[in-house]
Amino acid sequence: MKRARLTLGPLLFHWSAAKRRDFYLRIADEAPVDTVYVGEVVCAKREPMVASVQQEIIARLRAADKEVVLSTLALVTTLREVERIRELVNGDLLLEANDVACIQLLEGKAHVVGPYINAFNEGARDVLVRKGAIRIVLPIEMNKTGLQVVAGTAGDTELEYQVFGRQALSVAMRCYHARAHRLTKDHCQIICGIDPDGLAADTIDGIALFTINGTQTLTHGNAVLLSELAMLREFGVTHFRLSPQDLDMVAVATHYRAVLDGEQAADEVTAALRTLTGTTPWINGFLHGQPGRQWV
Amino acid sequence: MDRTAPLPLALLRGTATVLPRAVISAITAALLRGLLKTHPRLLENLTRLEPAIVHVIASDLPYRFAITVGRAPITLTVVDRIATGADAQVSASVATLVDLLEGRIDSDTLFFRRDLRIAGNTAVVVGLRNVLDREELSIANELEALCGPLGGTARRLARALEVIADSAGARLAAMHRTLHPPGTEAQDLTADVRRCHEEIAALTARLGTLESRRKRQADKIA
Amino acid sequence: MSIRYLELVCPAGTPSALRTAVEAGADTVYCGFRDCTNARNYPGLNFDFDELCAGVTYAHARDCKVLVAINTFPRAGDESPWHRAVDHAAAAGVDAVILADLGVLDYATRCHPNLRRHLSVQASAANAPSIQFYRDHFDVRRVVLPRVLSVEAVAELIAETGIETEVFAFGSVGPMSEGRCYLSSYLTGLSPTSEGACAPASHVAYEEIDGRVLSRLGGVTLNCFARGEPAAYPTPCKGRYVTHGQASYLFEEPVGLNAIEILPQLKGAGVTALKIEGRQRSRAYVAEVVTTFRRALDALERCDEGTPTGQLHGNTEGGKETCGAYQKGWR
Repeated sequence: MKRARLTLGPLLFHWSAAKRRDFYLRIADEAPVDTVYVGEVVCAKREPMVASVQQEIIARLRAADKEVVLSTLALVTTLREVERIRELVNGDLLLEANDVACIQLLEGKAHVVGPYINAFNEGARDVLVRKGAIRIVLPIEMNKTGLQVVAGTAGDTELEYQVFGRQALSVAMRCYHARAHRLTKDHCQIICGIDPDGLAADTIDGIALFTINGTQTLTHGNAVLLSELAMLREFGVTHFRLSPQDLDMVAVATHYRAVLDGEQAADEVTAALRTLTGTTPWINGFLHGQPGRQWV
Repeated sequence: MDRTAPLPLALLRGTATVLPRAVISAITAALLRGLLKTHPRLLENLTRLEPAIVHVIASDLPYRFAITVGRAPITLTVVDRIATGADAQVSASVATLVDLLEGRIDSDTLFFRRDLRIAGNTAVVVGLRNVLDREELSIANELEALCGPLGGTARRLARALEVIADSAGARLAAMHRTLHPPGTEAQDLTADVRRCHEEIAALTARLGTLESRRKRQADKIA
Repeated sequence: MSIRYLELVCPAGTPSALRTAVEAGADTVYCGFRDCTNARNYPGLNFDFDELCAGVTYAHARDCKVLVAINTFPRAGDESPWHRAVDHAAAAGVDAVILADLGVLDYATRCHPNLRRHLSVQASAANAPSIQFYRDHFDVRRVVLPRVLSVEAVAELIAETGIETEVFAFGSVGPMSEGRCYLSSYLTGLSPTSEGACAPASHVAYEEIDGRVLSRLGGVTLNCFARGEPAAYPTPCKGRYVTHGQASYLFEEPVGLNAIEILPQLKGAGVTALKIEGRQRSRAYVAEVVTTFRRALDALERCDEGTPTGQLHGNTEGGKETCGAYQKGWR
């Protein structure tokens, strides 16, 4: 079996340029990940705010021998957003397409299909591969039965699945972060920047349920698929994604790397990982065909 | 279109309070048999639902109807107002329920307005609603057909009951208007009620404004 | 397709709703099969093959077209129900299929090249390159646009792609990008994208306490309606949530979409067809909404001033209506 690749997914939250720079420079220097996805997935308005550090981050990651993939927007609606993707397509970085628009603009050029494009079955996977996908990040809603089928018959196509971090449940035109602050998306003051780990949205009877991240809605709990890693590898999953949270991601990556390499058993790193994730509950329901918010 | 069949419906509602339950039971059972006969796919579709007992509670009747679905035979019986053992319950007024059954009103609309209440197994209720809405049912026609062979007896019975129940005639007329609108009559009734509601809402709002204005003035003086 | 003017595309959850829609003046009806291949997979709803054939005969005899929505995403290893649905739709002689999944689009293109293909809103194609992708690779003739676009954006897309578009005129306001929203399966474990039911009734529960009604999905409390307060669908995006200590309709209020006031603008934008949502609604709803839109469209065509807009707010969620994303400021 080929060595399992550990990846760091795109940062979904809106961190300041300085915080981003510190984060990625440390990832470059210390995190045992093979691939790092950078680029804005959630909201085009955030991008200019952090553009100043983007080139340095990419250069440092490359210098550290990481594969760098540039993620693109999950919901593209404006001409400006389309033009931005057109620019990226003409650049030299491998892209992660998160909207079909990106695949169209790539015109068959090799790319990664991100988890926001529905690749739930063999038929869809094969279409995507024919259009140039070399790696497909499967949707978080996919359960193990589906994963086994799609990964098991994928041939040379690499398959990635998120194994750590809050899961993205939806993208929208509306900015809920703005709404929670009684602002509109057009005059949002980039208010999402004040919550580096998102904004908690609870039920009216006090159950923590969602994490709001601008136009995106995430799970409240942290997805932790640690004891499932062996099974996923067995299925044929080649890349294992850690989604950045506001915690020590280098330590998270180190634990996952150790388990993937068989140096430690999943239950040996559980306690240490719990310390890192604090009071945020762990979830793994989607993979097991249960409600996503559950821990099976 | 002949929709003037108040007599059988009188049996259902207007005089139902004084009819023995056994009689109501017999009528509803016969009604179901008739519906299943005139709508052959209804039986199949009701049988295909998840097995369950649904209580239909007409808020203005002194008892409930219990429908068993999801297995043969499909039954419709009359049970106590306080009966238990249902997997799901639907409640609304008789007029609303008949409108629903006959496809004159949308259940989601009733739900948004809170005129229809659902408890228990929601899937069964949704399934039952969809299965009934597939058919073009008419209770009036069924009851009329039902009264066919026994027409005379039923009519005499109904008339006797009308005499017993003082206000039955008035109730009958009101019900007839509600259930069988000739053109716009019943619409007007609904519109009237809506207008009243709107008027009350407007007056309440006006009162609120006046009160807050008075308070502001009082504050200013103070 | 010959189009009188703005084509009125109407929901048919059951054969009787199909007849109702045709009689009320639908130019086109859309329906789905009785399984997980369509996004309204609710108990007791939808058509089997024979019912669809009868529906097509009935509609075609009255100069009305029939579309079949096969707009969910097949589960891996189990694509055959979707392929069979496409085969059946073709055999029934429908005018087009409404598809969302790349694999199903591919299957239909290969196996039924002459069966007209529309792109479902579930495919979430909200920009010109996406639309071009589906047009170039699957010869998609019409796109149902996501209801997250303003009238201006709709006009731009049509101008740029030249494709037939269908837009939502009446129904729900869906704030999330459709076809890739996992809120409901996060609470229930059942996927709207592959099982075809958002907030499946099997996981919905209502509890009445002192005149207040609590609605729950998968055991999670979504909302609490005070006595007399209008209710919303038990979908997660219409729930009340607490942020910063305050409960609010964080995603969307219980309000329905009604674009009847902006029909001239939609026509001006170059829209081909108007979609009335509601295969899950009773035929009484179909009759009322379709009749009202038929009148409005006829008046629009005659250029009558004061287009009759009717009183449809009783039919909308929460008894309130909005033009949704079509108008500026909704975001």
